[in-house]
Amino acid sequence: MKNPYLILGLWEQRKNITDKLVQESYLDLVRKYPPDRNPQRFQQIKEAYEQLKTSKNRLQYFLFSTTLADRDDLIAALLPDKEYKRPDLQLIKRVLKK
Amino acid sequence: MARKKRKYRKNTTTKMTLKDRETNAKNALHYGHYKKAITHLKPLLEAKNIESDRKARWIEWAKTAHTSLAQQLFKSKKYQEVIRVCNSGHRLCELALDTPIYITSLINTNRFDEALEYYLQLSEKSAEGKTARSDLALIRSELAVRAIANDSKIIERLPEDDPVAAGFENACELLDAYCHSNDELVEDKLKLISFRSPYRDLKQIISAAIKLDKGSEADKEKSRETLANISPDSAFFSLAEAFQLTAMDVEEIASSYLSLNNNLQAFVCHAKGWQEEQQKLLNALANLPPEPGFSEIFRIADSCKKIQPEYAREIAQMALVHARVKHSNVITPKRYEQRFGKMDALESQHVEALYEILTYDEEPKDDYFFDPEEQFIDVEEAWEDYLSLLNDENDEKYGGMNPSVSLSNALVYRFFVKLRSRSDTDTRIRRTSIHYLEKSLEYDPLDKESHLDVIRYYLNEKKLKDARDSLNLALKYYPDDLQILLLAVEVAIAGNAFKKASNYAKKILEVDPINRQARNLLCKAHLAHARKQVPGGKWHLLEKELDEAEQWSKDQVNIQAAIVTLRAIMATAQKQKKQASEYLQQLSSLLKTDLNASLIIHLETGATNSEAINCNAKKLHQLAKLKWRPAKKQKKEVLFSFIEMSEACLNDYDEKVVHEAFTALKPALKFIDTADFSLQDYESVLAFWHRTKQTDLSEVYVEKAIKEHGNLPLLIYYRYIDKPFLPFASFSEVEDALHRAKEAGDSRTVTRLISVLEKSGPPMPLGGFNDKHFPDFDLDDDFNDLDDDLPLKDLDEDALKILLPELINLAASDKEIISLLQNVVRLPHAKIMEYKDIIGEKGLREMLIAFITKQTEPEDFIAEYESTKEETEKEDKKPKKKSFFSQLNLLFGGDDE
Repeated sequence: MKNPYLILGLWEQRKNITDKLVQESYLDLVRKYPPDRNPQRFQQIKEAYEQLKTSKNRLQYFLFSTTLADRDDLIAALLPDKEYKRPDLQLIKRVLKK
Repeated sequence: MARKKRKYRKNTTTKMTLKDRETNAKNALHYGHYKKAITHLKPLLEAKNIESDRKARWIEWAKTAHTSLAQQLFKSKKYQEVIRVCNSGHRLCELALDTPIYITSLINTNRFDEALEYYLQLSEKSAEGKTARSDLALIRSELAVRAIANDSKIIERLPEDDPVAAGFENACELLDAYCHSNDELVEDKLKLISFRSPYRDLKQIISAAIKLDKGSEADKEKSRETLANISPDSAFFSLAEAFQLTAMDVEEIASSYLSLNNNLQAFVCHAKGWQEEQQKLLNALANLPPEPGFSEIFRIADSCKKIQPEYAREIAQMALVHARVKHSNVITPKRYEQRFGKMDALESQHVEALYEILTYDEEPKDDYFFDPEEQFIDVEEAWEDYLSLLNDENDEKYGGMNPSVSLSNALVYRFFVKLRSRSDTDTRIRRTSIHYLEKSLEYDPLDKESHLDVIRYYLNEKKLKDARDSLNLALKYYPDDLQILLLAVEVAIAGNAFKKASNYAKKILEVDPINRQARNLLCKAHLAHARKQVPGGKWHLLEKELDEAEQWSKDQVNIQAAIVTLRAIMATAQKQKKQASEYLQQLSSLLKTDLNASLIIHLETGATNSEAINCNAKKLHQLAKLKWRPAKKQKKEVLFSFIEMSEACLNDYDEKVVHEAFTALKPALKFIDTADFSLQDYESVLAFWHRTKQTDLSEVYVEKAIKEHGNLPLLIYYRYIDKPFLPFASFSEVEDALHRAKEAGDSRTVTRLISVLEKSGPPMPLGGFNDKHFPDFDLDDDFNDLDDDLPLKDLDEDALKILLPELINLAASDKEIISLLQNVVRLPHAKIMEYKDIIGEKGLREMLIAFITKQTEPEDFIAEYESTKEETEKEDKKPKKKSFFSQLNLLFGGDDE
């Protein structure tokens, strides 16, 4: 994934984003993907945080980013991980049916 | 269609004796070839008049063969085949059918009636203790799943006390409670499922699913593990798999989405809350490569514009930019407009500006024709247009500068600096970049890095007034910043404001008492002040400054050496020869070699102008018992120690002083013993001579290096880099080296050699007529003067007619064209401007060419121009650079490349 807003899960909030929001999201993700367990993911999160941590950085990203979205970007933006919705009984029956 | 005749195959088994068959059946069983074993056993069992012992043995073998084959087929979920094999076994050797494999296969092929019949038989046997309980567990969980998923009628046909029937209602209520988020009831229902219940796996799955939904991160992790531990043989495995999928990241789901069956796909999409359109999109996304191209992105953007309109526009715009850079017609602005609507002016200019950045980045920097300046102008123009639109829009909306607009301006100017530095071999900031940095500080004065860069630039350029102004501006915003205070010390020292420098340094040390850089600078300030006292013979002040300097640097050899030398100068001037020689002995022991001691003596006598007090370098050498001319053929280590010493202290001295010191030491430096020099040694020595502008020394060492290591591209670079002008005869040598460096993939040397080629005159058109190395011809004279510098002497008139216009087209900028029209055609500036309004800049260029080639007078040209304008424009579109070089090469007999 390349888009820092998508990496930090802030795409929806990007219009009203604040430094605090970016920091909170960063810390949440670092807790979820600590560097010792997920070094690559952590590096990605850290880089995204560096790109968005201040309004100046965010403006810089907006002005000069020329990166083309990759598949993970598209998936994250178009298929947001919404709140988990429990299946209905019919779906469970369909899954169990062979 | 005629049926293909089957080839006659001799059936060897029909003629076999019973003994052979028996042996073959035994062997086939032994090696696990159950089908073959059954083939042999079938005729054996049908044979008559066989002893009962022998037949009983064959029956046992037949049972084993059928059971094992059925198990193999069961494992690969070939339930129909299992049933067929079991039935055949039953007929042949009375194989029991009330086995878990057979019953499960019946369930899986929806033959519930038979399955239940055998299941009940098996249950009875189990109650009598004739079969193992585990045999029943598998069938029961299969029946439980079928009952939940398909047919609750199964339950009605089971005895009430059967575990499947007994737990069914509870299991259904459990699932219902879970689906309706009634977690309290779920907990109650879970408690009712015992360890031996056929619903045991369901219990585990639902417990894990609840934690996945509501639990902490640790709980979720544990739940994932629980779900992963459900065996693929379990009847509830598909449900476990479905919940596992819902716990995955979206990217993981997408990568395995296409391999899922429809039910699982629907389950996951429901759990993630994705609508039908998103499900379709997921199918398309799962088919994408990890790095899709611009056309694929544009297609996705088009299909998702209803779901995420803003994101769709954003990615489509970027796809448009990338497509344009790659000269692709797949995505055009018109196509974009059709799909996503019209861009507003600001948006459109932003896209244009981004295109210019990408084009700049895409240009091959090692190409002869790459002119960073020309490319940069395009980027600059696009971004300045963007800023102007942004500022206008902002004025209309807010009537003043909005902070984000102001910051955008600053960021764009800083971006120019960054972009320029990408194509610079020199890492220092250039003059043009400073202009941008200063402009950026007008919009955003809180950018410390820009302040530092501006001050450093002026300091390096020795523009002290500008440096002081920039420093004062920086101190206004960052009065206590250590980095800025350190630069303040340097600026003060450079301006001989030693007290001020000392005050700034002390301010730093108040905050950070062990700041090494501040201590060094403070020490240098005192040393510099001390040197100023020498010509005036103010020994008391000199002593005081040296004591101060000594206090701040106790571990730096070069500063210690300078202090000792200054003390020796003072003692010599005061005619205290003994003390002076003691100081100089101290100097010799402090530095590793005589050459180093000699260097410091030359530098200090030069810097203090000690000749004025009758103390020169020669005198100090005598007192130090150093040879005035150091011995030739010294060891390699001596030279490297000298370089190390010089690197540490040269910046502290004036360029003229350094030059004089090097001139004095040149004889010794020229004749260092290079017998054991490696290529790397040569490289570092040559780099040092290049940095210190020691052309003579560089020449000596580069020739030695080429003699020893051959004409490596790097050595060719050092051979010519310090030459003011690349001779035409050497052009092919450098070009050959460039070719070899390119082949070796040595991009650094490639860039360096291109910089050497840029120093050359024609036929390289890179720098244009205002390049300082371009042949110096007097524009007042005739254009034929070019012959002295250009290899045009031997060309006939026709060739010149081809070459000169091309040369003008390639080499001259618009300003230069105007200058040529003034000087060669003798047109007044006002007249040229008048013509420019009529025929434009291109027209002026053609006017000059027409004058040179056809002696067409400007007035006649103007008249002709209008009539042939259309034709001329067509001609302009043709590529010119390539044709020029191919023609040039043809004229000089070179090959097409």
